[in-house]
Amino acid sequence: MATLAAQFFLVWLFNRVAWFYNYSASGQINAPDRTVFGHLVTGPNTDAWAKYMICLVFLTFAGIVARNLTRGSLGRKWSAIRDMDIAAEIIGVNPLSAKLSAFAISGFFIGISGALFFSVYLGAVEVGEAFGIQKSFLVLFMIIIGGLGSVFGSFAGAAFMVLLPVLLKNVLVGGLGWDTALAAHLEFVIVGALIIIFLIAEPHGLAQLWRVAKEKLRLWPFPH
Amino acid sequence: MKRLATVTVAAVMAAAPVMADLVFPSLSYRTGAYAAGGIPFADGYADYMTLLNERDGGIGGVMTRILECETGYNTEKGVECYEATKGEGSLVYQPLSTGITYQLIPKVTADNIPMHTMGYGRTSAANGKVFSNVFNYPANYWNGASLVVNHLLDLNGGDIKGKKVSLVYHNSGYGKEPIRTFEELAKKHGFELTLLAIDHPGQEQKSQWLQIRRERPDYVTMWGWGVMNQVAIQEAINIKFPMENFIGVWWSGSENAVLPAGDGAHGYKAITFHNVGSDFPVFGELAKYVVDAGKAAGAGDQIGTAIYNRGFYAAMLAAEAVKTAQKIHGVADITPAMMRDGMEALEITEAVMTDLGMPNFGPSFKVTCENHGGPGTGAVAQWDATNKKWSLISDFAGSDMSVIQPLIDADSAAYAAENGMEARCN
Repeated sequence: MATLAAQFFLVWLFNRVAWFYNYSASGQINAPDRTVFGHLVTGPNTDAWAKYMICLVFLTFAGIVARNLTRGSLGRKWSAIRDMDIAAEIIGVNPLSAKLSAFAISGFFIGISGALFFSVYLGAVEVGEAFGIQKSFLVLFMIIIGGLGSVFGSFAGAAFMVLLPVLLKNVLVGGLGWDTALAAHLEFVIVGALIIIFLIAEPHGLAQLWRVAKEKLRLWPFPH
Repeated sequence: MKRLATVTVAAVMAAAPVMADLVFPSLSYRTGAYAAGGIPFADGYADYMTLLNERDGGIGGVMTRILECETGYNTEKGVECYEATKGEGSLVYQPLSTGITYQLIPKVTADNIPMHTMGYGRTSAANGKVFSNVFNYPANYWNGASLVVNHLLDLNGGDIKGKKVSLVYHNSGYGKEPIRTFEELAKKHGFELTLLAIDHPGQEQKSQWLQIRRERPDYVTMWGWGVMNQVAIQEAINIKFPMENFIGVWWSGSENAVLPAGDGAHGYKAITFHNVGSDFPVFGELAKYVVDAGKAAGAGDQIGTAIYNRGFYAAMLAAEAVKTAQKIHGVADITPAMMRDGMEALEITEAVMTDLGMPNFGPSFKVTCENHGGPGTGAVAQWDATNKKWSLISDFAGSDMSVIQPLIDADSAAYAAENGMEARCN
């Protein structure tokens, strides 16, 4: 709920206080050009590979940190609190510090992704559109579809939510030559239906599906 | 494996276009809250290009091709469309979204592809000394703001001191763009300006209109788009605000904005920078070559509406720029860089417009290296709910450049300083 409030408060703030949007007439902020080892990583002249590499570096770093965090004592405290907070408290987990640290650390990861999204991917943003409530929901869906409580799930969910619409568009408009409006509408339907089917058929998300598939394949073709 | 590779290569080569064509990307939006504006524009744009293909066999003997990509008025998708289509030799981008325009300005400049933002986008792009690849002729938002105020001055015999004017705007880059000019004009003419922001998508406007009812402004002006227009007009009717004192920008002046409100919308005004209606010879040819041949874009039901005409006009200006570029470079199959030169040397005269079957459709103007913004003229149109049509109630007149030009210079200078750019055209 606190983050939902922040969603509205921050949009309001970035609309109201001129300092936050660099006093630009239209409320848009632009990312300045920045270089890493002499290669541009932000701005319009950036090569696609440079954008990809800079994101990959951040992603790898964040992925390793997240993986190790969940396996360490801090991560175990978080899962204890998530599964049953009273029981966790009895075995000696401080709920205040566990919840607060979970909030702060996830905020750190999201902050990195938001900064990369703005500076590397988009290059210029307007608060209401780039960081509106739709974006928050999109991220939430990625996590739910990927599978709660797993690092791999977040990757799988993000890939699903981002790549599927692109794939559908390429197939329907590029491959079959359909009308763009029809394709866009159909895309909503297909993505929405897939989300529902996934949540019914596999509530633990893509991560669980992946685990089950691996398990099955290991025994295949003689399951007994 | 080798055979598969051979087959793939053969397939790719077969799919690649063998025939030279002039590619016009159309970043359209036929879905979402802004489709009411996106559909007619995209249809008009596509229909004009189809007309050129069917009637003249393309431009200078080279066929035109529309490359449509759905953006949903979403900035991210717009950028994605740009990246996906720029490799196909796209000649000129017309994103029909101020948000997408802001994203694309640095990108088109880096890729040397021209962009035409007619009546929207970054207003200071009118300064060609700073913005080499962006054009916003024949008019921009700041001209629009000034045209609204000029109309108020006309109504009040040149004196609007102490009058209260409310600006209802879409809370985005688009809606915020004219505020600076309105503030300057309020200072100059001594009227009181109230700003009322409406958030995307614009269906929730009750509180803003309550405020208008309470404060009783003399005039309300609107920078709205998509579903926001219809809702605002309905809300204005609900609080019994006199329609003739409600003036929208050109994007709020379409049939789709007023039709849902029925008779209540009678008398609503909007400014426009091109003519309205389908009473031009070119529409006869359109019916003959495109509509009757079953080649009209979309559902074909938008012909002659205000925003259809704007898309049609945008395509006409693009086609004329192609002709100019072909003349300059002596090549029929031009590149985006040549297209840019063509746009910078574009000259539209009344004779050209008459030749095209569009007499008095838009202003006569000449684009130069310094001035990418055109003349900035416009007229006021009023909605007639009984006959369901727009009609012009004023002549095309100029806007107050003594206020706008310093603002354009200041804003473009700030952009140049921020990006470390040298002034061109010296």
